[in-house]
Amino acid sequence: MRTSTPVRAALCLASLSCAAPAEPLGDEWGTAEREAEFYEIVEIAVPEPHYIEAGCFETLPDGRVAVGTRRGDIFLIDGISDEHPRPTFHKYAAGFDELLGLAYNRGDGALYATHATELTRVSDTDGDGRADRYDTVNDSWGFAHYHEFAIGSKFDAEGNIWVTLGLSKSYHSYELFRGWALKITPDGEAVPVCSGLRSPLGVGDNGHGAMIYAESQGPWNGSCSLKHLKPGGFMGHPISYNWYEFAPNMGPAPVEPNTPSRLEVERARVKELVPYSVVFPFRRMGRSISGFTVDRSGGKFGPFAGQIFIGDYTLSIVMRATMEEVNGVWQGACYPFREGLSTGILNCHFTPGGQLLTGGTNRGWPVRGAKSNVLERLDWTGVTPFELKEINARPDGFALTFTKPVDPRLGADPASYKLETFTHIYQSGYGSPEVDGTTPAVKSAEVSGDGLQVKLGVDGLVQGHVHSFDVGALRSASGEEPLHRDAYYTLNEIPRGE
Amino acid sequence: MRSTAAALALLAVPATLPAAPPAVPGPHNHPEMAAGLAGEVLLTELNCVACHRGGDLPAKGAPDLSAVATRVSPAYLEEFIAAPHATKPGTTMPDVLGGLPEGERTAAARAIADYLGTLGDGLFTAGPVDREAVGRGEKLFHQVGCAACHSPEGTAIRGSPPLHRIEDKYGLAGLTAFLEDPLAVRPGGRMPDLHLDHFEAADIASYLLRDQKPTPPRRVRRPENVARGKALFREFGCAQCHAPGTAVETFAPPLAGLAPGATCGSARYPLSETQGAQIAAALATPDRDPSPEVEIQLALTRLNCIACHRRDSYGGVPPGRDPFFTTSNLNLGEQARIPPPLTGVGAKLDPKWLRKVALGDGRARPYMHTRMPAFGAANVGRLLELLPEADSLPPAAFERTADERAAQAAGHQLVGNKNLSCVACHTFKGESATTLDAVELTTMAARLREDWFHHFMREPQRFHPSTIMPSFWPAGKAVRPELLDGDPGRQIDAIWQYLKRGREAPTPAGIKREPIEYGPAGGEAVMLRRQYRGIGKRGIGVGYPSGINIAFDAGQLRLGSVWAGGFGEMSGVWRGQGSGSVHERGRGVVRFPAGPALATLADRAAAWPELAESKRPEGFQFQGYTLDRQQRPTFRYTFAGLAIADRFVDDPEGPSLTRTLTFDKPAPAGLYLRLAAAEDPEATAEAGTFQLPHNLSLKTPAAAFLRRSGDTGEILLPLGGETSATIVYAFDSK
Repeated sequence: MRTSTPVRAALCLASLSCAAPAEPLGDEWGTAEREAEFYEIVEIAVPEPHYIEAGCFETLPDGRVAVGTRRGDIFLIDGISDEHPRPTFHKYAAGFDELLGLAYNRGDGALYATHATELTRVSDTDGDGRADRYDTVNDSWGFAHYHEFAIGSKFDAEGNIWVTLGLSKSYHSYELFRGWALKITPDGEAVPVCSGLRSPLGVGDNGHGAMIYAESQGPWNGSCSLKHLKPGGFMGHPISYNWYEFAPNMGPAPVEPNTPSRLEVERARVKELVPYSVVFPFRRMGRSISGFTVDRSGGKFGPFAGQIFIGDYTLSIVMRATMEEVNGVWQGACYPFREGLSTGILNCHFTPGGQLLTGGTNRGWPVRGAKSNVLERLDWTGVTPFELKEINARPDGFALTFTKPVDPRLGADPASYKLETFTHIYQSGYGSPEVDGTTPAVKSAEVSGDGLQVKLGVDGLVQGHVHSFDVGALRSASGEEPLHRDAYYTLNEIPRGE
Repeated sequence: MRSTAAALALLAVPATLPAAPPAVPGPHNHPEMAAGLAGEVLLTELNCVACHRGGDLPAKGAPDLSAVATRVSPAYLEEFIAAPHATKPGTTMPDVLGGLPEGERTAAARAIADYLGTLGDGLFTAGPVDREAVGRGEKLFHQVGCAACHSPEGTAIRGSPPLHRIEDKYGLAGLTAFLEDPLAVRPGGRMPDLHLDHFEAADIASYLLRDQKPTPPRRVRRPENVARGKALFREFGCAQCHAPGTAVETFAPPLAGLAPGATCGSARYPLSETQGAQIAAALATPDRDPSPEVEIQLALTRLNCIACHRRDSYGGVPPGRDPFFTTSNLNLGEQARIPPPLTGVGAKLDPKWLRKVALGDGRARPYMHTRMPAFGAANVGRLLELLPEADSLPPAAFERTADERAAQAAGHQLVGNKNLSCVACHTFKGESATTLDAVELTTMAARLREDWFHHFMREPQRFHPSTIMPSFWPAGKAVRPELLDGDPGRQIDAIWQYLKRGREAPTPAGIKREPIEYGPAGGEAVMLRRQYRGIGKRGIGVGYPSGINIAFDAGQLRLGSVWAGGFGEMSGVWRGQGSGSVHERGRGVVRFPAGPALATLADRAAAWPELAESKRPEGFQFQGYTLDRQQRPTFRYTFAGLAIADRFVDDPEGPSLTRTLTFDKPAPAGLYLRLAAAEDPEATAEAGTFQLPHNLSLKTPAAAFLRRSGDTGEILLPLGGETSATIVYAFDSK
């Protein structure tokens, strides 16, 4: 059979794009040398014969830290917070399939492990220090392809565990609830809460009581983002609409979003569509954001108490994020934090000593940190960096909070703040370039009495756009350069004036 | 000239001191260095330029004393300040009190020591040390690079920075902390950071302090002395080199005005005759305008890079220290143990990688025991600018293959073992075709400059006369003429384009991936929930110590397969994205049919319900499992109103196991368990015994029966009214 020319050309193109060389991973921030003055990377040696590709962590009441691995073991680590860590690793449980969630239940003293196949309650009934009872709490979701990962949260205030379910083969939803978030109640019942997920990695509380998850760039996702798992919400990827009939509590399936379009446009059409809370510009701020945690160390980790710390698998980095609810919608900003980790970060967790424990894997997907079987800890050296700590939206601009007082002259100079905006195409195709760029004008910069906050008056805020900040020209009152100059605020809503 | 220098040296040596000149290793070990340059090194290394300013020579600096009281014994400190060269022959600390009469000198030293004793918030503590740590530390000391500068055990190599009476000076905690982060105390980088972790540092410190006698923590402090000591510290110019305090710009006449034969009244050194002549030679040529190469040589000498590295004909490992440069991989020859030459390194290494290496974050040769230390960004910054300036190669002439994919594909082929077989020596993502384990392929393009790669590949011996790297284009001819027209430039370009993909480059032919074997250990079973063949994703494999293995299907609630032999090879599930299944390590795997294993039938002849693999049957719920002390499972699930416990226990004589199903109440009428379905199961003469493929026999309750439909035979066990059932699976090991 002869193939007509246009078809052959199309085939050719398709095969080209499939086999095209992987993109270079992108430039490093180039800040690792300076970051080390403030946050030191401390390697935790994993003794033979153990092999740890960490997927999740939890702290037990006795101070030991449990780590769940891709190979399916749960180790209990004793001494992880020691100044010079040489902890002992005790294999507590084994046999799971890609562990990506661990939560300790104070009620029954068991660990709840989320892995690809189910949520399991793991307990040691004879007190010999090893798990001997594995109870299936819930396995109601479909699982027929290895890429159908399941990621579990810690317990929420009502005792639920939230499980986010990646799509089938990362593009489809062939099995029940692939691309959905389920809430597993204390009775083990699965309540569907959100549809439209793509490739979640990381789910949990945002530090203010709202559940969020980390989504990766791909179809319907111009870049990675943290999204609010608003019950009843649609997270943007419509391939999983087919399961609404199995989720009567969710009502009928939403209308289909148009493609190509803009999220800001479609959220008016698709009422269940929840705007992406914190967009992480691709490459500059990771390529596959992963597990996250909230700094509840009470200052042991430096000036960022209450903020979100989130890893990135591909670039082996940790970033920060902050969130606020504006006009009923969650939004916020992301900031560079620390690069130069040795493996692809899947998750991070605060130790009882207030250090940030990180771990992950180096296999299967492109990764900058090429080591395997490694845990690393970020220790605050006690020296506070000069950083843009948090951005908050204001009716007429933004409030920027810094870790140290800003130089009064530079701080009050609007020219010290470079501001640009962009958004992504909301489309069924993979990812998106940054589009619709604008340059708002910073009209005023008002420094607070203590020098820690600057209120920017901005002309040209664009609702729905990522607002990127460059504070490289700023200095602290003692002349320090900011450790990182960039930050990105996703302005889903502009606060209404008082 | 010679007499002047000698006079200077003599004048600088107080008569009471032994004539051990300050140890400045670079010039000492490399007498080939021009006298004036050697003198310039001494001016910085002896910190002359800390007081005599005005030139652009960077003083070495001296230890930060801000917390010295925690680190150094107060008694030692006092003795050392009073007579540094007698206390520690070879030290680069000048004798600043030497001009005072004896009694005054002792009092001044005591006052300064008392002042220093107030710096730091911990108490100095000494000994005891752990003997095992001493052994480990001795090994490390002679392996990681300490012996590149310091004298190895049992010998005294002249020019080595002294460790004399170190056990009187440091306590274990203080020395450990210092070795862990020497740049914090000595920011000049002459004692570089060898990336010792805390425990390695403690081991080396234990070795160095092995003769230490324990002393209780104490702090000698005579408060009346402190203020006077602080004043003396300032007066004698200690702060010119040491923190805390502020150096004074005009403490001494500027460098430019110094006469070659001048004597120094404040900082006395027992200079050797040669050292004196070298300083005089340097002072005699005040207008310096060194070429980049000379500046590089000076920097390499000051930091003593040349203790390990050669650059052109300069520097390198001297014979006395050669035995302490070792490798874990003797097959790679000298290149595996001797740090690489720095000849042309600015044209070889990518500047970002070069910086990483100099800051101690880049390590390309895991087999080399000597560690590339970190010298501190401030100390190497200029050197890193100079190297690319001084080193250059002519642009490589080659034709680039514009089609990136075609080039990478050709490169992929060339690297593999069917062509140039780079993998015969080099690792790829840490794995190799042989045991040579030479420099990793996937980081080459990030480390090297493209030009250098082309030059090197054509003529490796030009860069390393002793390298075992062959030339693949002898006399410009390709050994593989069939690829890219046999054009050497295009072939090398293709390899480069392939290597540029880093870890994303496809695995070249010849790389053997080690299998990941997994199985029972220590008399206990192992379990892994993954995909097993014929089961789908909700499999639970169990490997028993007696050599029998099962895969249970937690999706369909049935025994999926059973095999004798090893449990599994895990590459399919623990490599890459984990897309495959566990490979059973047994010769005959007996697989049981997909679909539910329990069903309620209208009668014995009714058809068994069909269900495709990995579809979940109606009415079943998996509830988990419990492990016994040997980690053997009892699976729990529900069906037809029954709570079922399904226990699989191996027999010690194996390979066989006993399966016991227990119900919480009598099973309803019409409930059957399908034990097997195959083309030719055989019922034996004995009731309740069946023969399955691969010499597997089933021993069942007598009620079990074989029924045939078409080619298939099914073994069913009626369960109605029963509360338990026992089946034995045994492989005939004959």
